[in-house]
Amino acid sequence: MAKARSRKASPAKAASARPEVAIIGGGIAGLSAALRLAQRGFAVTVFEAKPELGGNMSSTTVHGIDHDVYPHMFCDWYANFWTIFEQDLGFARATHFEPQDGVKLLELGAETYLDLRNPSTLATVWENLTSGILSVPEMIVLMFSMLDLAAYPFGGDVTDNLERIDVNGFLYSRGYVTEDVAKVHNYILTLVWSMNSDVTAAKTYQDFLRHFSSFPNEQPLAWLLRGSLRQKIVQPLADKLRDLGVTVHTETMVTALDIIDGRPRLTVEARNGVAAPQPFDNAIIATPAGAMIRLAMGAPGEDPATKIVAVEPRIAQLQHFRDAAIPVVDIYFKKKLAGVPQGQIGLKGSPMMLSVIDISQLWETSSMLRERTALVLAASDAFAIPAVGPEARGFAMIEQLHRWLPIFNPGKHWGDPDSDIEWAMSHFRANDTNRLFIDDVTSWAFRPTAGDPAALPNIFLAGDYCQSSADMATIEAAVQTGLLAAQALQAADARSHGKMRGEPITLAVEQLDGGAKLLAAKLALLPAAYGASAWAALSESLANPGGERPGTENYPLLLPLSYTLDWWKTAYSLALQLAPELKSASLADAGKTTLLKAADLLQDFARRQPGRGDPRPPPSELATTFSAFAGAAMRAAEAALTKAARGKPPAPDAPYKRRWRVKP
Amino acid sequence: MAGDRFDVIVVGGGPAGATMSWALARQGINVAVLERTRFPREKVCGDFVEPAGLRLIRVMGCDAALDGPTRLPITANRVYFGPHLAYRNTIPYYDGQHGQPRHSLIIPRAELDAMLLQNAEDTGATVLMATEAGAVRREDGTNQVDIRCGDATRSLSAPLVIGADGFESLVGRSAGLQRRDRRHIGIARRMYLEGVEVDAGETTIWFDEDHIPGYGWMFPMPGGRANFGIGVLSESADRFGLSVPKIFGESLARLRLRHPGCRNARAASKPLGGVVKAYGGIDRNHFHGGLLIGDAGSFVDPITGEGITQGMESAIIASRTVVAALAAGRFDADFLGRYDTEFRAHFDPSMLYVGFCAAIMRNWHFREILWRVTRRGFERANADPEFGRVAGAGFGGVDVQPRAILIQLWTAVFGHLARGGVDAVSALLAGRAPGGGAHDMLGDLGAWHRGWQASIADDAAWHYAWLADVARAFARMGPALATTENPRVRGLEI
Repeated sequence: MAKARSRKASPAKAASARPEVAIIGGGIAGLSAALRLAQRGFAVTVFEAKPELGGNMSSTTVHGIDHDVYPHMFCDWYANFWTIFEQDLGFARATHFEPQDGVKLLELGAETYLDLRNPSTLATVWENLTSGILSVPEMIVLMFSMLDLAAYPFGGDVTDNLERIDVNGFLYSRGYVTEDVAKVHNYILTLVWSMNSDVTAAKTYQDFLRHFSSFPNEQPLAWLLRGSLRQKIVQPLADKLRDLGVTVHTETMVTALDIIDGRPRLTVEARNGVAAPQPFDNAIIATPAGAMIRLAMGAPGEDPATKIVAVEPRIAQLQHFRDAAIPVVDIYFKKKLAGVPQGQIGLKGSPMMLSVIDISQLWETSSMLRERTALVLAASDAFAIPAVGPEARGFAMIEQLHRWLPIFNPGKHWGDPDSDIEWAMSHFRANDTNRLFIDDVTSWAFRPTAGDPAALPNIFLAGDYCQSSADMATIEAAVQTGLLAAQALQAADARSHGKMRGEPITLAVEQLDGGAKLLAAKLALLPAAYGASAWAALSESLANPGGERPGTENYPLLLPLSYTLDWWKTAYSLALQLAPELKSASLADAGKTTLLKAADLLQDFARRQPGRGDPRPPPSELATTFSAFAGAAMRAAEAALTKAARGKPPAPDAPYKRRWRVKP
Repeated sequence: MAGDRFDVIVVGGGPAGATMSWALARQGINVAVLERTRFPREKVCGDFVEPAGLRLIRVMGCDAALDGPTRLPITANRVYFGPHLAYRNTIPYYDGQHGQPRHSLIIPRAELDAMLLQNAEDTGATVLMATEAGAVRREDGTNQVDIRCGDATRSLSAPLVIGADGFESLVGRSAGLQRRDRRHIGIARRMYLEGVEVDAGETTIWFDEDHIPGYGWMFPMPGGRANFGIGVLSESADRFGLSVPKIFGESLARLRLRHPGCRNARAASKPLGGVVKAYGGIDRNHFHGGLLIGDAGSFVDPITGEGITQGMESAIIASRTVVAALAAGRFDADFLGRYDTEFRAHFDPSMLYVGFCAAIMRNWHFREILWRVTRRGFERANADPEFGRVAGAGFGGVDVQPRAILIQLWTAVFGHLARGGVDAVSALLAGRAPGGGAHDMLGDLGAWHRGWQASIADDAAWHYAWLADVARAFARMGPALATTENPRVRGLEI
């Protein structure tokens, strides 16, 4: 039927004619799709409701100053984003981005900043353990719990109820996690995605952790843009699209999408009024989930039979999705503030979950920034701002910043001339229309795949709420889903015309560390984690006899049981990863198969080792660090032993060698 | 030509071949045995027959082989580690279970083989001495064996041919079952001594740190004679440049120094070299129209190198398949495969355990720690007969019960480590340097570490491949841990 309809709809169109593609939403997902499709020869029209392109990556320009929606982290693993930035736009990453090897935390009343670094080398792992964010044993537990979640073998079908657990639920199920460790997890999640650990899907957080686990290859935690999003990314991308012949309508709202004769028909409303409904061959809906739902369901009074939901009723369930606004203030000062470190700073314990970046140290120097400090202050928990109205809310955020960072005079109210702040340059935005998709536990049941041509002919979905290999609200997820939608559209076009238009659209798919490797690491580190947990519990019960938390004093007694259970469960999961056929084997056979499989792995490893007389590769950094560490420990132990033995060196453990006096 | 047709042709008249032809002849099967030499003849061997073998020889009615005046029952052993006497005691696992005698015997192969083959001939087998078998050809479902006796050549035929022709089995080669994996090949050298004065029935074995993996033996016989020899793993000899003649010479010189009764020992024969192929190298021992038994089928203990008893047992097991095949008229590999199932059920529990130990010992770099550990084991067995009876049986290749042994060994190892830890701590508290003593755990860990480092530094590729082999050997042994009794102890029903 669909085929017949599309033939009827475009009887005159030859295969060589450029198919008309409407892209609804000029965010980074829509722009990525537009870029690839225009490169492949599609006639692309982008509709953006706002005056500026970029969506959550846009900037508003007020008095000549760009204010980004909010500060973004650009992670190393954003493979598809970097492809567009470096290859399509032709920019060098190192010129336009500043690598960040970690984030800083500032506690209330503290003068020094705590460093949380990307644990990608032994050295950074060590620095994290001794960073002072938590006690050393609890830092061990924290890092181990990240490894544990990264390694956890979720079954893959996220529509299963038992798979849909939140981060707190996961942590609670571990025998070793302490309350303080859970707090840090919550802090990280709230800071990055504005969602609490009790609603974040454990599976989502797992993806995040897996993407970050680059150990032992040193890698920055993220890159920060050395300028505004408009100047560095969105404008060059818009220019590139214009060169490719893409039509871009800003301040043009798509108010309705109807499927007429199997083709999408768009009703648009620009500043100068409503235009006549316009048919397209294909449409990509690259708006936030809320706007997509409104288009899919239609408004009262519209014909329900022509809406997407009539073809694909499941799309109604996307109404489950939630999002959040992150209010941001850009604070321009009258002078340079001393002692603000570079990079992202979390204000630990601040009710609004504030984080701040000094862009005057980050952005390329301009006359505007040379003489002054400029801070971008974001409140990840908008509901904690006890004020209404933009200026009052902005000032409340500034006041809270001042409590953590009392190095400036904030004045008495927004616009108070008796302050260190240059109010005319400063800017608050509530970001109510630039909301962040909340990838909560419930959302997993409904997340669509990017583009579903079987159910929705000629209509494709893009946006970070769709499933992708990034699977969380990130720039990379948005870019990936945009490319996936473009890919699906190109494939559908090839199917209906019998010929692929241009080179097939490809995605950079990141190879994530396999579960087996992580599970093996978990198994190896299990004793350290449980030992650290016992240590933490013990020191807490020593510090607070009687214990603030009930049962704390007896908790270490249960640890060996949890440990044993965890060990066996992990070993079993690892065995299943290595040899899936074990699922139906007897215990004895399972042991045998596992061991034989391990032997095969060892044999493969052996093949890659240098043989006798082969040149030896230089030792890896990990091996060098480890042997230096082990050597130092051995020397220290030896020195201690020598000292304990009152100066007598320990007896050399000479191998048994006696000369045989053989008679001639 | 009817005289050239048999039901079964057994190639090789050693203990395995003789036992096979005896077992078949007594059931009225028309069996021919081809023996290349003319008995009695000398054979490179330790001449050591363990109690299970003696029990089998008695069942076969070869009492003459057992009770002759030149027999010296072996009931005790001494074990040297270098010049150090680690064990001097009775052999604790000679406990007479299931009708086994409480001793072993040194029976020179020249006598043993001749008596066993004579016994087979007396039972009705056709024995062709000084007859060399050529290649085995399979034609129309029957085997043609070209034989040469002196200058005369002719061809024998039989539906089944049994390879009992030793480690370089011609029958095995004809069937494409050649074993050249040096990990499972041992090299030995032995000669007879005279002028040996030792206590009645006490053998001597020794381990020298520079001769690992391998050991030497001196098995006394009446009249001051003794069988003296050494064996090493072929792979190690090759990889680490161990020279068998050199080890042999050094061992004799050292024996004279370490054993007071051997001070005046003299060579009474020329040294002869030999080769054994161990059980671990078996892929399969059956083929279209035939089976391999004895050394030809690699039924050799990977540690002790013993193969007489195993050879005879493999012959008894194979004879059941032969009888069934003749009754069913089936001579294809599928049918004969039941032999592999049966011999594995019989030998796997003991041989795979011993093979696992042998796999560990292949790494010459670990000689120091292996030396320390085994020496401590023998010392413990000397003081604790129960330890010697269970764990020691594993080393002797007799009454091997993997589960009981592993439990006992690991209990001992954990006890040792715990005691060593306590000793080290108390030494520190007392202001002495830790290490040394009976539970020198630190020294053991150090020795292990040095071995590991040396092995990786020498040849990392070999090292990890070896580790993989150890893991495989353990995995293969795994199912044997479920058996509580070693079938070899109960013996075969005949």
